[in-house]
Amino acid sequence: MAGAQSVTPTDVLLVEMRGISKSFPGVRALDNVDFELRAGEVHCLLGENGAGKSTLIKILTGVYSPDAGEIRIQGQRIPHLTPHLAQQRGISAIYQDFDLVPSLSIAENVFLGREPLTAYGSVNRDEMRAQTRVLFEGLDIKVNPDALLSSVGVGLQQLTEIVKALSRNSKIVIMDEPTTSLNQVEVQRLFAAVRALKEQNIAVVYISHRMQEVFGIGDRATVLRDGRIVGTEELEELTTEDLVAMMVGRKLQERYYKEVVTPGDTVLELSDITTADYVVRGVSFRLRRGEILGVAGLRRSGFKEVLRVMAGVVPPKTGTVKINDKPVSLLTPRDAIEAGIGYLPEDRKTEGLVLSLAVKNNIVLPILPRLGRWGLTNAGREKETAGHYVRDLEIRTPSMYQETEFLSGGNQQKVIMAKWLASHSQVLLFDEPTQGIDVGAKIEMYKLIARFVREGGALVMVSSEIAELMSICDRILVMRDGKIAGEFEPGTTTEEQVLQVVASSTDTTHE
Amino acid sequence: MNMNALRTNSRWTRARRWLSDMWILWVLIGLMVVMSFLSPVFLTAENLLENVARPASIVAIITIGMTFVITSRGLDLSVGSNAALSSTIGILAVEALHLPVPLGIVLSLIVGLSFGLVNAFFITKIRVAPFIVTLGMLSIGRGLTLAVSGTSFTYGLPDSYRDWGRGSILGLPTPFVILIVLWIVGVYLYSYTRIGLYARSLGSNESSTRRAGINGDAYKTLYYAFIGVLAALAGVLWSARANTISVTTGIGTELDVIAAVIIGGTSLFGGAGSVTGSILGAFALVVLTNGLQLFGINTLVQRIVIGVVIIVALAVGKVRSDRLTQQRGAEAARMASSVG
Amino acid sequence: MNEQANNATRGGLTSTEGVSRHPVIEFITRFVRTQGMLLVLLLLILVLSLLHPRFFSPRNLTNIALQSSVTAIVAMGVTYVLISGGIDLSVGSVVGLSAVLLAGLTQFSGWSEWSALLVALSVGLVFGTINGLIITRLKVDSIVVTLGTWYIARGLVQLYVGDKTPTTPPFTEFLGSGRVYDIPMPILIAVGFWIVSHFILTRTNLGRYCFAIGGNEKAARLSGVNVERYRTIFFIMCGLYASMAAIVMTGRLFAVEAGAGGGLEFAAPAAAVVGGTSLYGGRGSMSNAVVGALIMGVIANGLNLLTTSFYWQQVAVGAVIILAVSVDTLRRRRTT
Repeated sequence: MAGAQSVTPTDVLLVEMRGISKSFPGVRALDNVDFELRAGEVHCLLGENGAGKSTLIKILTGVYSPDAGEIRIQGQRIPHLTPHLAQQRGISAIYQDFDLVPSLSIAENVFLGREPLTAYGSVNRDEMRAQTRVLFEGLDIKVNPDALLSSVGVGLQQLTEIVKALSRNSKIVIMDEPTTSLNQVEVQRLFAAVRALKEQNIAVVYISHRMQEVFGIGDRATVLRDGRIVGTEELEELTTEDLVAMMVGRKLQERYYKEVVTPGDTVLELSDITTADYVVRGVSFRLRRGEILGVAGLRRSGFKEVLRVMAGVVPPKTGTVKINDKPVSLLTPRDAIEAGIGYLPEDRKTEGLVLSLAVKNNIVLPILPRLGRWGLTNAGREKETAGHYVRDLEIRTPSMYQETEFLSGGNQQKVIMAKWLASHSQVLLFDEPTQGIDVGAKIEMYKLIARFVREGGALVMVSSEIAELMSICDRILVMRDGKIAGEFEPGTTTEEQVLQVVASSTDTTHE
Repeated sequence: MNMNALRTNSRWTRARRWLSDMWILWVLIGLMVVMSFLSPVFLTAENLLENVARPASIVAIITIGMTFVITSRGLDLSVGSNAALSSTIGILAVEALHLPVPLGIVLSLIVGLSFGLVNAFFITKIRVAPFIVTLGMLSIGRGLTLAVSGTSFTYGLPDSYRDWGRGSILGLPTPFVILIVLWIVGVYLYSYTRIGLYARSLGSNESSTRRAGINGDAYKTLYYAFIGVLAALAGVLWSARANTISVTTGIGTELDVIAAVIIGGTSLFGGAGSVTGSILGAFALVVLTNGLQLFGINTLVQRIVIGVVIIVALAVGKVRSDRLTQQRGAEAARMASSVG
Repeated sequence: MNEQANNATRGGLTSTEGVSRHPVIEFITRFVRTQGMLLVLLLLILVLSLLHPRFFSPRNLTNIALQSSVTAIVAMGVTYVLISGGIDLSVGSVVGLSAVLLAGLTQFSGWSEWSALLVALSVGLVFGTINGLIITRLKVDSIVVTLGTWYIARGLVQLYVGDKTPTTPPFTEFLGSGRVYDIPMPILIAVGFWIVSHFILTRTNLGRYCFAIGGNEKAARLSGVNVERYRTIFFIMCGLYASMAAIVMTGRLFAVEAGAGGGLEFAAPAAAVVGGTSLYGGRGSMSNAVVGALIMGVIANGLNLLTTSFYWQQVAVGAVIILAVSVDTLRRRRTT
């Protein structure tokens, strides 16, 4: 059937999920979803961020329990699936951050918690080594089972996860964007391993954004959008265009908000920026006042890292940054703040806010030296400034003395925004501005963004949701392998065109 | 991936890797060579057995347990105070209740075990930071020692008790012989059983370890119980050697033990370590202070030296790990640029 | 009204619950939640007053305050480090080293009072700087580093005095044993420290950064705070407080022994934590340190009155440390 494989998926259903629904406060993550897995198939799961892929996976692995619907594994109905039960039934999931122990060897990782013992009760290392070798050889790979996990590359770590799943006699292996941090050679080895799994009649759920890979390895694909199934199709019968069209669909216009602003002078200019780890390589672009620039890309493509360069978190190895035509050196976050750049990181709770501090103290943290003299805190001006922004941005909090950990996601995001408005930033760097906040708060966020650029600010925004970039930005840069791979204007391009450049894997860059 | 480099891992390269990891062995040998050149007394059997091996063995016994504790990312600051309390209770039982000496020693070990279990309870069940729990227990142990012994100092323990500390077996100091036995047990547990494997695993990635179905609390309890018993044993040997119970037994020992473990190559950040390295570390510290004594340098300098050694060992560890990440970073950069 | 109470505790949620309660009940629940340890202190005093007739006398209460003053000053220094997310165990021997140098240099070497004072203060400065630099540059755990420097300073003390016990220089006697309006000087000094430290922690940028760094180091750095510099400054301040406490302590004694200041390395952080400053950074106050020092002082004093053996004090100190942190930990686990 599918692809060039000699093995064909059998019709044995390993997993049947019927009518699965799951809601979180403010979000309907899954709505009446059906999903099935056949033995020996590679089933690709596609959809944009927030489409419900990870919720579906978490239900299948027993992490979440569904609000409605039923799950059958190997024909047997399982009413209360727990992570332990899922593992017992042969379901293994491999996430992007591996569940491995760096200071143990490969063999020790594979058998952690289930070590073979000798008659004297000691760990039977020879047995462990031999079994690990055999399992790897089943995937056509030779390894040194004694190598410490921390000393081997990401590719081999991933294969170790697969072998770990095999050693537990898993029948279903879920891979969540397995290739994001692999190089081409490693990707080829991974694919070979996945094909070997098929031969052992194991079903693989393969989550990826890269079309090339989906068509290269998959048998069937299920596309999710807004928590619903768009369709499950044999990949043989589909083209890339079909698949992208299924993913994107038609978006409701009122989910976004944008104003037309005439761009002014260039405020920020990057020329030939390269970082020491080469995640960003030779990036140049300009940003004008009143402009919203979107940056799209896949993980490790450098699209988030370029933001961190401008924020002074990762100093560039070579290249220059100019603000209002004057070169600035961005060695620390302080430098960026002084240059009028405000950074809103993706992870609000671990990087954006000091959760134990009050709303007020978070807002004025960068500008304390400006508010008072001789190192003394000017409590009056603190209150005045913070109070102004709490009112202005309509931050919903009992008082400005409330610790930020008790605020909702949208209001936390507003506090970070207020922090940078209070420090008079000209440029805001926004990493996933609406991730994890509910629909109403999203619109408010877009309105704040629109107001910021209307008043002469400029904004760079990173999002894995292409639709969001298409609706909000004036211009979109697509990054791949640390370089700018394309530039688009939403008015003259379609989401499909952008997505194709984003999702085309590295192989196609050498055409 | 450099698969070739991974495959050429013969017994010989493994031995060579072990020797280069065991830099403390070279430090110890170097120290001994320097000392024997500088002082004619150093390399005498009398000095080596009585002034180096005997005192070093007592500390080294505790380092075996500390290796497990630190590998699993814990810490035990209460070992010295545990040693004092356990030995004092055991001796008082022998003196006042006329308990046979072996039973008195067993009683000491039981007290040490309970001490470790109390530590483990607060660390695993309440999840209090290990250093706070053991710091509190340090204080409690010292206070209890004073409370049970009063201010009276008992001199003149029964000979059969004293022999544990001052005696010799086949010409070797008894504490040294006990250490050798415990060394073999320790290496076996650390390198060949689940007990050591899970210590490394818990220290490196505790949540993954627990997700693998391992009862992390049970193993941690085992480590603190083990070090509790070893600390009590060291306390017994101490008192036996000194022929007295003293409330000052083991003051500052926790620092000696931690220093020995760190310079012996066990990572303070958990996940990797070596029982043999820790024991060699304890010997290196004693050789160093013994050498200083031979030159007539104030014994009080010992504390300063150990404090400095701890900080230098931390710095060396940091530099080594920095170099490692730098190498890997450079590798990643090479790979990235070769792709483009 | 009280900003620091806002920083120190997780109050304020009551207003969002929207349940109207009697203002007195509201006040009491709020007080228990924010000033729980002060309540414990008052309860302890009440219980001991009932148990022993001599406990609740002005003389004895003054005595407790006097005995707690040095611990309180050191604990306030440690509070900066604790709130910013570290710990300093070297304070006990920094106190000891400052004290023996102060007494020794004036008595044995005939140094002038001022130069000896300067040397004593520079001990705290130097050790604080070393602690801060090693911890921030090598990015290593503050427990082990300060244990190491604790050891070094204690060794230096013994090396310097050995068995000798230099007598207290006369000029410190006023600071340690003098009285103003019949109030012992150490109490007045401790109160002075309390006022100044409270001001620093709640009314200066330094104090704001302290809470920010301890609350979330990454976010503080991204907000432009020079985390390494300020963490070093907090260790230096902690060292200086220890040295200044040593001057007061010297004045209270007739002579300075090699063991001077011993035990403070545990008692001072313990006092801060017992008073309610979190061991995990981000929350705490100077009042916590003072209340904590008083609680430990009351326990010690009470045990002194009730039992003949002073050993139980040490046991009580250890037990109080473990219990206080257990409560702190359990509270955190419940809310997160």
